[in-house]
Parts: sequence; structure tokens; C-alpha cells
Amino acid sequence: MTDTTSAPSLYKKKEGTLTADPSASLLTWTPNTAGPAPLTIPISCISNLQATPPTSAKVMIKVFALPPDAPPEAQPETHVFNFTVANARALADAVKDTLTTAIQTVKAASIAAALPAPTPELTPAAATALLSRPEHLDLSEKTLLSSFNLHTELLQSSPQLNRLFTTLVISGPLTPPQFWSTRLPLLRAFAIDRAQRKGPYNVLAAIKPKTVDNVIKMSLSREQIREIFEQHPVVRRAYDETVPGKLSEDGFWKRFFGSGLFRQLRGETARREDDVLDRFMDLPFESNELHPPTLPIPTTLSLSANAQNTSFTGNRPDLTMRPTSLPIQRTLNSLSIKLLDSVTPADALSSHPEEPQRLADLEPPPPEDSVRLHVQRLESVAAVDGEKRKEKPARPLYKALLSLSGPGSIDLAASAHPTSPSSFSTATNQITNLLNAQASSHKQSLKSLEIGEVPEVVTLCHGANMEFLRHFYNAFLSGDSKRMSEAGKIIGSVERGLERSKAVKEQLLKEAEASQSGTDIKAVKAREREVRRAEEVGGMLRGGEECLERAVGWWGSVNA
Amino acid sequence: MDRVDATEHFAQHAQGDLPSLLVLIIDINPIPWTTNPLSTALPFNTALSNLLLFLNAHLAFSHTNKVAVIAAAAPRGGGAKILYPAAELPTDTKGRPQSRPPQPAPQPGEPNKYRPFKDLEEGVLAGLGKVLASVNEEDDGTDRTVVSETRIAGALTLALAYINRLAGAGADNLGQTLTKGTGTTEAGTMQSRILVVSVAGDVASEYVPVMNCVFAAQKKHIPIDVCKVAGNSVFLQQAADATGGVYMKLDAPNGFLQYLMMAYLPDPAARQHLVLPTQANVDFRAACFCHKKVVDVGYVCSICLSIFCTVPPDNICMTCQTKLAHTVGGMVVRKKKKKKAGTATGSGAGTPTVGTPRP
Repeated sequence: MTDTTSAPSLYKKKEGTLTADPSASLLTWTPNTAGPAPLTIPISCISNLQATPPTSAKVMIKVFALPPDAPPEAQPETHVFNFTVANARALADAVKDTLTTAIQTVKAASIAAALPAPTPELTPAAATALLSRPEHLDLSEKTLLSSFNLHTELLQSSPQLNRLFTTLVISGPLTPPQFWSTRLPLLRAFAIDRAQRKGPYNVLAAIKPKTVDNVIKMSLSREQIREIFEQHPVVRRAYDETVPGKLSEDGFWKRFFGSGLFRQLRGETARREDDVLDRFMDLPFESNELHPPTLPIPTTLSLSANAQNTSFTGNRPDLTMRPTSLPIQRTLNSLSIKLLDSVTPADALSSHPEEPQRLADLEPPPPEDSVRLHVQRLESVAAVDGEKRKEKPARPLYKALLSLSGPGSIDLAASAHPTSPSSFSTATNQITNLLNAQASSHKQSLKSLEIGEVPEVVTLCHGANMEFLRHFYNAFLSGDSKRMSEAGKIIGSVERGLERSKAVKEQLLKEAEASQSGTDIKAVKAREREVRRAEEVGGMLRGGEECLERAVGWWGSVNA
Repeated sequence: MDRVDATEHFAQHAQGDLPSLLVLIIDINPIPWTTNPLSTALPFNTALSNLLLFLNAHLAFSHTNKVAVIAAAAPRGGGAKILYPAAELPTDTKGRPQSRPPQPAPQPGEPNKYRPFKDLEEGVLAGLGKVLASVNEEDDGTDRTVVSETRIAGALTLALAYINRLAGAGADNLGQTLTKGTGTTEAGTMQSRILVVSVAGDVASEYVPVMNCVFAAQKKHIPIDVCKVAGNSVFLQQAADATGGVYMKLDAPNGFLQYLMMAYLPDPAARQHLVLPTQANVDFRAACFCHKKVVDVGYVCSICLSIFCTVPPDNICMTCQTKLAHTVGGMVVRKKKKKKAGTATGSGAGTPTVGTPRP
């Protein structure tokens, strides 16, 4: 997509030609008459692009550009281009498309070039606050392809993909939509990955004091505070009553973490020390209102509804479920109940509460859904072989064999000595050659371990070749005659891929030659070894080259 | 249970002690054997002697080793006949079983020959003589003719059936145990392999039966070795490659014995540790199902995977009777030239075969 598009347009009421040149990354407007100065905007400065909708009568394109030396907060300048010629709409659309792709490319380049460290881990508390359910994720193809954020994040997370992207899109002919169109599964998986959030958990247990320079420090984030208030309404009450009255916020938290209330909530035995906060210690178990059942409990599971049929004798309940007076247990149980309530249930119990459970064990197996194939023997078809094979009368030939196989003519000892002396050695040679060939192909797999790292330039070249091939075949074999032109454009890149592989191989050889200087035996041998290694590495590109040549052949034969 | 009372060792066989069965398939198509260059380089009697030496060597490895010999391209009986070991109740010429087994004619002057070798030699020669002489019996009055290609599928099937009978159903060459209904386990009883000595080319109409045999051998891990004395065969190459056997086309047929002894002697247990001198480039072409032509690029039905050289008539697959939609390539075929056996959108699809370069 490196071709320029241009269209005649009006700028500030003067006639001229608007040209979008992606290869030079410039948008230029040259006037027809000599009067006003031509306008040149580097595409990297364009921040926004607008066009009139297809339904309107007027055809205009508005470009927002920040002059390169202006401070970032300055308002971008707007340039409005009017198109008044006959096929204005088509021309304007063409220019707009070129501009959009060029802008995307430039933007992608700037992001990829920066490549900061991968995004830091979200703190768990922050994560809990950003609960977004996966059902709300939009994973349609359009969204995936157009979500620029997603693309940049994925590129940042994988340096290999980033390198490929740089080679193909920024310095190559592919457009970002093309690049991502074959990588939709990657995008989808990454989007789902990104949207995953950590569920609710017991915050108080997660807060640990850090000792820095003999001073105990504790850090609390907003989200953690919010969680504490949600999980323990007692703390909220205490907070409401003491701040900003008796204590400042900082003071409140300081005293809270040293108070008996905190320790009681954590489940440890607590003494009443702090007069301000500890009067709330008696409250936790009174103010815990019974959580109202938000979902109707199905009759099969409800204990109270089945109390008549439930006998509470039998195995003693688990250690954590017995009624005790240990405060830690009650705390933990109530906390777990609270946490679970805040999570949406995964199963569909709520959808069919009244339907009884169906036991399907004794039902007959479901009817088979397979498709029957009627396979026939193909004797009837084309039994005639076409050409008549040469037939000879059998009897004399078999008689000749019979005479040769009579007991008299079989002499094992004599047959062990060959008629011609060299035949055994020829046989041995053939066998040992085959053995050597087989053994070396076994060794080949070991040898590749000696190569060690494949140089990056080879990997990139191969990746680029495969990418072009994939796009070419997608367009070529799609059955859509409109995509033929697309295929034609890509075939140029395919041919260039062949040249590129050759260039890479030559470069490798040159480097190998130059790596060892000197004329003594050791250096010469080392140089030879390097050259052999370079040839082997370059030979890895051979398979890709064959595929490229085949693609060029297909294209040529169709267009012949 | 066996491990508890220490009777486990009764059920196990050490891998090396497994008896080995070698089934030899000789192609006795008379046209190659009686014409130059094969008849001068390797006359039939020399070849037979070499084969007998080779079989003796195999028997010498272990007392429990066994041998069977099958003739392919025999004049009667579908082309495959077991030469050795002979059936217990031989039939007379009309096919009725005789009441007592005939005694083999005593060979003069061989009283000190090792008994198994003697039995083998006499059995093979007697069987071969009978088979070759049976061309004289005509049951329909017409003159028999013979062509220069050999039908090998019948012999392969016979060999596989014989192996199945001897080795016990269910056991395969890896010595894997098979569990009987009572819960006891019995190790595989016999390791087997097939050696085909072939002098002629393939019959294309036999592609499907030969491939069926090859897949059956593959399942049972029975290697099919091929010694190509003369002629060219595509199917046998694939057979050897698919089953892990040795395929060699002999450069010097008069060194036949050397080839046999050096390349074809190891049994399946020893092969795991050896590099095999098998031909590296295999011709993977298939024969089409409609005309039995060997094809390079063709059409494949996407339902039953049968191969056709041209579009089947009415676009109906011939084996599974599925109606196929067919558009060639999806590319704009200018000038209506049928260039591409390329992929087709819809259900019928053609694939270029992934081929290693042909020898």
C-alpha cells in the first residue's frame, strides 16, 4: 500500500491537488495556479481526520494537524479540503483511505519504537476494583481488528511479535489490518487474558506491615480501604463516627491497626486497649445482619425446607463448620459467605429453580447421529486398463523356470561363490553408501543443535516470507475475483522475498568470511568452519524459497 | 497377584528370546527371470540357492526361529501359493484331501545335513516344483498367458494371514502383552517380518489392495522388506517406508547373496538399534481410484478421501456417492485451460501431493 493517491480539491477557496503519499509520509496540497503557497503536512503530525458522511451532498475532508514544533497542549490546526469534481466521493474516499492507513502505520511505529517495559503488574486491590465480567467483552472480528489499544498492548507484551510487526508493517508493505487479520486468535486470547480480574478476597489478611529503617510502615490503597469497609461494616461505622470528629483519617488508620478491633477481626484473641475503637469490639456479631438470600434456593438444596427429611445425626460436621465460640471461625465463615455472595454464580441453577433433577442413567442411549457412507468397490469403473500389456504364453516360460529349479541345479555351496569377483564388493559398497546416507540424516538432527542460536535476521526473513505467502494464498484462493488485484500486489512482495533471502544468505557468508582473519592454518580452518555454518544456516531458508517460487509459478500460470 | 506370589516371571519373556518368523515372498514371474539381463546376471537357480542359504542363516540364529515361503505370480490359484511349510493334508490334483501325507522323496547323498536345513530345502523345492508344474494343468482349455508385471497383493495378504495364525491374534511385534478374559496376561508369542524379492513392476489396479495390506502390517508393526532385483515399483517403496522395512534396488544383482546377508538379516528386535540401509527418497505417488493411473496432482474427495485423476462424472464421488460441489480454484480461469488441479472451494478439493524428489 505504498501508492500515492491524489484528488483535485479546493483549499481555502483555491483550486489545487491534494496528494497523500504514504511512502514519504506526507500530505501535500499543490495549487493549480501559482498564487498561494503549497501546503505540506507530515503525516506524523496529523492527530485527527474527519470526512463528511456519504449521504451529504458536500464532499469535504478535514485534517487536524499539530505543527511539529508546537507544544502538545496547543490546539491543532484544521485544514478543510473541498472536493467538487464529478466523482468527488470516490476520489475523496481513496485519499481518506490512504491517509488512514498511513496514520495507523505511523502511530504503530511510534508505539513500537518506544517499547517501554511491559506494563507493571496490577496490584491485587486495584485488580479487584476493576471487576469486568467476561460476558461483556466484545470479541467480534471488527472490534478486535480496530482496537488500537489491544494491538499496542499485545505488541508490547511480545518482543518477537513486535519485531515481526516492525519488519512487515512499518518498514514493509503490509497494512496493520492485513497483519492482524491472520492473527485473530492471538488477539482474541490476549483480549480475554487482559480482561481477567482477580476475585474478591480477604483484604485484612493481605495487609502486612513493612519494616523500613526500624519504622513500621503500612500502605493502604483506596481500593483496599473500600474493600475493608465492604467486608466489615463495623469498621465503616467506626470510621463514620470518629472521623473527622475525634481522629483524623491518618490517625484513625494508625490506631485501627494497633487496636483490638483489628485483631479481633483478623481472628486473633484481642485485648481491649484502645478506648476509641475498642468499644466496637462487641458489635461485630450483633451488627452482622443476616444476608438476605438474593437467589431463591432450589428445593432440592434447601436445608430448612427439607428439615423434616434431614437428620442431623451421622458424621460430625467438618472442623470449620461446628458451632463453637471461637471468634476466628465465626469471622472466617461470615467473611466467606460475604465474599461468595458478591460473586455471580457460574451455574444456571437460578434459571431453572423449579425443574426437578432428571436422572438419565436408565434412559435408552440417544439415537446415533452419524452419517452413513455407502462405500462401493470400484471394480466396475474403468476396469479396462487402457493399454494392452504385453502378454506372453505362459507354459514354456514356467517350464524353463521349472528346469532351473530342479534339485539337481541347486547347489548351495557353489552359489556362495560369486560368478564375478567384484559383485560382492559392489554390493557392499552400495549398502555402506546407503548406511552412510541414513546415518548422516540421523546426525543432521544432532548437528542442528550445534548451530545454536539461529541468527535473528534469518528468522525474520523467514517469518516475513511466510507472512506474504499466507496473505497471497488467502487472496488467491478465496474465489473472489475482486481479491485478485490484492493478490497481484502481494506477489510483488513475494518476489522481493526471494531476493531478500538471497541477500540474507550473502550477508551471512560475508560475515563468516570476515569473522576470522589471518592466514595461518588455524584461522583458515576456523574460517572454513564458519562458512560451512553460514551455509547451513542459510540453507534453512531453502524451504521457504521453494514455496515462494511455487506461488510465483501459480500466479504466472493463471495470468499467462 | 502374580507379583505377590512371585510367579510373575513365568509370564514374562525376555525380549531377545522371542522367536522370529520370516516370511519370504518370491516373485516367480517367468518373464523377467528368463530374459536378459537378469537371466545372465542372476540365473534363477543361483537366486534360489542364495535364498536358501539366507533362510538357513535365519534358522541358524535360534532354534525357535521359523520360516515360510510364498510364491507370487504363480500360474494358478490367484497368483499366491505357500511353498513351505506345506499343508498337513495335501490335496491331490482334483482338490480332494488325500488320506495320508506323502513321504518326501529321500535325497541321496545328504545324510549329514542339519535336519531343519534339509527339511527347508526339500520342502521349498518340492513346493516350487509343484507350483511351476501346475501350469500344465488346464481347466478351461485356453492357453495361459503371463504379463510382465506381478500381482503382489495376494501374496502379501497370504503372508499376513499366515503371520496372524502363527503369532496369535492380538499380539503384535512389539511384544506387547495381550490380556485374556481371565485376567492373565500373555506376552506376544512371535516376532515376524516379511521379505519380498521382486523382479517386476506393479500392477496399477492393485493400489488399493496393496495399501490395505500395508496398513494392516503397519498396525501390527510387521516390517515389509523389499529386495528389488529388477524392475521399478512405486507401491513397494511406500510399503517399506510405511512399515519401517528396508527397500533396496540392487545395483549388482550377481551379488544377491551379499545383499541378503548384509541388509536383510536383522530381525525386528535388532532393528531398533541399527541404522537400516534403506533407500532415502521414497516415491509417494498414489494411483487414482478411477483409472488406476499413478498421479502426482489430483482431486481428493473430502468425505472419503479417495483420489481421482479427473473430476468424477456428475460430480459424484465414486466410492461414497456424495454429491460434491466443484469450482476450480476460485481463481479466474482465463481461456478455460484446465491448468490447475488446485484447491477447489466447496466439498471437492484437490491437493498437490507432498512429494520428496523421486529417485
